[in-house]
Amino acid sequence: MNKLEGYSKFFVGFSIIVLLVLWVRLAYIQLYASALKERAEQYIVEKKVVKPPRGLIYDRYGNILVANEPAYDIMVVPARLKIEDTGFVASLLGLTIEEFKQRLERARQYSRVIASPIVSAVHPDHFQRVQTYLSLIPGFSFRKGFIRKYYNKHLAHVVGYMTEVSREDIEQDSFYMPADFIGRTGLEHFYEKELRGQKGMRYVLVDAFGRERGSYADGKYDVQPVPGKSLHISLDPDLQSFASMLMAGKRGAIVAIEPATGEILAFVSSPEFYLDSFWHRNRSSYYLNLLKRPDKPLFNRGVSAAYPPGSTIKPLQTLFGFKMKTISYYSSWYCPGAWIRGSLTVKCHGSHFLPSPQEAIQYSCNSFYCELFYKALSRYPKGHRLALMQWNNFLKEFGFGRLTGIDIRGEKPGLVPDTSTYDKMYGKWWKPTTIISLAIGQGEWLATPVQLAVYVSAIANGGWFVQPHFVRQIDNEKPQWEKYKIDIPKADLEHVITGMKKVIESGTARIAKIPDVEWAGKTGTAQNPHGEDHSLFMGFAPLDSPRIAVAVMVENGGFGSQWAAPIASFVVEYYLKRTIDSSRLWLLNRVKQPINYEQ
Amino acid sequence: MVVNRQRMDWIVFAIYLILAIWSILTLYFIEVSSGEFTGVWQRQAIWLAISLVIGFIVLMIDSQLILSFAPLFYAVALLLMIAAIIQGQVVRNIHAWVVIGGFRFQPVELAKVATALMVARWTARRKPSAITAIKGSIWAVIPAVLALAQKDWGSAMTFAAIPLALTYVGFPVFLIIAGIGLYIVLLVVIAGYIKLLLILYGIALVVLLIVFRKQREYIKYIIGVVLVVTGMTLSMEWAFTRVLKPYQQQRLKVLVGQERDPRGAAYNVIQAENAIAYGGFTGTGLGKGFFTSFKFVPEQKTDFIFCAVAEETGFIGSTVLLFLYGLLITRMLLYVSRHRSPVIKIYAHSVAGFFIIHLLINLGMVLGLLPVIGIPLPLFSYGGSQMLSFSLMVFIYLNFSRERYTLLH
Repeated sequence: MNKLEGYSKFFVGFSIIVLLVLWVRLAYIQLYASALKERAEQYIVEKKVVKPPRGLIYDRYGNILVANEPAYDIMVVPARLKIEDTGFVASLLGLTIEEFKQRLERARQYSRVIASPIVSAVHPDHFQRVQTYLSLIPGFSFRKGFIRKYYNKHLAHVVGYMTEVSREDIEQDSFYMPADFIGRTGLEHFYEKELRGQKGMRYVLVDAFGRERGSYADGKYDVQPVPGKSLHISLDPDLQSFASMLMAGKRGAIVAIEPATGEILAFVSSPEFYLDSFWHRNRSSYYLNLLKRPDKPLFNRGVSAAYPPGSTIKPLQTLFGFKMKTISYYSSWYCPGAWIRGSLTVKCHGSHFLPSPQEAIQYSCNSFYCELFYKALSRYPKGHRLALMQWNNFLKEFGFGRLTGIDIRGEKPGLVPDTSTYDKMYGKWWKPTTIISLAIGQGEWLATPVQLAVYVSAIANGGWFVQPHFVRQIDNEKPQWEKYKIDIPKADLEHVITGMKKVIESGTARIAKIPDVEWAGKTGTAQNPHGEDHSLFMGFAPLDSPRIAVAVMVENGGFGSQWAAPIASFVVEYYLKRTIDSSRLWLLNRVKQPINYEQ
Repeated sequence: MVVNRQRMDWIVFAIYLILAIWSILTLYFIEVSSGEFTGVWQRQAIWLAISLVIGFIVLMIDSQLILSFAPLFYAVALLLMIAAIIQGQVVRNIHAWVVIGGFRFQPVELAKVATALMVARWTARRKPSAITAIKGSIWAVIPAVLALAQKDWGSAMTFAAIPLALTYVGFPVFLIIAGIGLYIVLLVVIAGYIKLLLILYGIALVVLLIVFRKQREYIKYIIGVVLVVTGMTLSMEWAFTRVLKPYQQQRLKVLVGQERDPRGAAYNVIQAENAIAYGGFTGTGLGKGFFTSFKFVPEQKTDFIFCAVAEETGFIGSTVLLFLYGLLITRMLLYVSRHRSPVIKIYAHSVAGFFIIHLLINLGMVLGLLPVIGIPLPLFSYGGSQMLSFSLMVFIYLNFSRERYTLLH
């Protein structure tokens, strides 16, 4: 058996030394550090968060588009609060008495003795009035903050709005504290992490009355805030305003892209709303009203609204016909005014005598495309399943049926049907004639305006496109955007582009002719079972070196040539020439009229 | 066989009770001064009651039986720790909580008791030597590593109590001193004072060479040791700046208090120091603490509870508290020093070890001497796991303390 006597002397020595060191330190702090003690008696150290300024947004020409304006947070220390007239104070803060009590309770839960915001981002105009009254009431104090200032009135769906953070936001991301603001839609949401910057921290001495008495330890422990990064975006502000003006009083969207870069020049979703109102005193009631309106101004039609693309995809179907070798440059069929197969009839806009592929685009001949699509699907016996998948893949290459990756919130992928879509609808028993409406862009096929703009820029570029985007630069960093190549013969494309040129020269969109500008496009009409059809147009200009590709959608606008084509032509004309030719002013006046949705 | 039972160590029991009740009173007065009653002191009182009940059950169990169950206890504790890593709750970024029957607790606390028992049993059966002590320490390394896997730095460090306790069976003292030295060097390196450190080595080398200039045979050892230490320091520096990614460096710097932590580790220390200083010699009086009432010290009911004692009862109160802990530690060792069973003596050293290491890390942090690492003040901080495990440690000790003449193994 081993022998162990007594205790470990090292252990006891160690323990005694540790206790002695702690005791001496204690004595030093409590008895001898008198300076420390005096400071402690007079002041307390408080930790104050310093909010960084949010990143600015510049337009394509380097001018400021969105900036910050100083605003004020009204802070409250519940323990010090002495209110005589609750109703008056609540109304001064723009709250109801219930809301005011709720917020006071929230502040009380956070701390009774540390100031926390009760109302944040108070506009400076309003703040002056508030300050004169509230500074007389003990318990209220003020803190500097920021609100957004917009230099263009038509940014609602691009920049997006901001609101106060919710409880979930705070739980998910420790960056946020009550009364902070967070981007909810658009660029403000997509680039929230870049724009928000990093918070700073200040240690300040506060006296017994809660007044600040200078910084602690000369700011040795302070952490400086890091301002948010600036965004340099590709928007052309004048074009944006002009395009918004064109869409006033209508529901719909305009997306204009620079084809070579994928940069978005103008992006309108109508009706719009006012971002400034999201910083006003009664912002919550403004927001609730927007939610209630039947024309859904908060719905971003440019990226979230998917409609059947209608005849705008006829150039694409032509390319598919070339690829599948169901047509050549010289094919033609007689169109008696409808396409008839068994009991099925698809109406055309008129009777066309032996249209060539180019003429079929020019006059938007439905019969031609039904025949083309039917032949492609029934090329091999029972081969329509395979052919539909080929068609599906071909469309996906042009950006249909998937997210384009645009850098704002709320994008929908639309839908390009494949065999499984129809298996679900009809079982296995569907035939080429069942799905013939796809030939003319109707039926289950759904596309968003931004997808149409991407597709037309792919044609304009000659077989490739860049992921559409707003942001060219974040501070000094250039984000990388995806470039997609499409395997398609140049000659096919040129053939189709000539057809699209004829659409404007002497086809369905003659009305969209612009003096001295050669350009190409295609009208479309999305069938709408609930009312008037939607008017569509897509095109690009100029023909030889495209600088702008545009897609326009006007809800319940009827034929493409009625609203969408002229609107697109004005967007193109304004961007290229910065003016509107006097010979077209009558048309501009007609297009500016609102559409009456009451009926 | 005659069973020679001896009186239990009532003094340790008394100190235990004083500390636990003092803790409840402190929590009560924190609530009085801040005017917010969240039921914390009542809950702590319930924990004490539960601990006492469990304690009395422990006292009724035969000492040898407790020792026989040590391996099982140890295995269960480690399994619970692994369970916490795999699917435990994450609180304050530490993956160390398991929920059983609605109660949330940290198995690492249980592992401390189990390790103390296991080490005592294993080491007492072997010949006391440096090798035995080092091998015995491995029982502590396993839970420490698991605690690290839970990202619980503080608890991992507390297992240093075992090597410290095993100096009793011959754990090489120079290894412990070297360990402490290494930790200090690491802190200095992370803090970025490596040049100062190298200059100090140089001075030390010169001084040693001058002192030992007559004894030629020592010179090569001196140079060797200095070279090894310099090499280790440089490689630490290299590992810190080159191997670790910037965010990892940042985290370590915050850990040693070098970097100003935007989340406010610096703030805690500043406020703690002010609160302690404000207490002065006599303190502000119970329930009247200025800093305590305004809740300026975060975690003032848990890790920073010492601030409330120091502010409200002043230097007198906090000295008494320190003295009680010192008394508890030394009394345990002295009381069993004449017991027949080595296992009891080793166990007493381990328990005392956990107490002193907890005091060192916790009070070192509160008094601004050591980096901010959150571990509780034993028997004092608000929290059930801590209360239960230290109670269990003490009651097992009290159980053993009666067996003066029996030989346990």
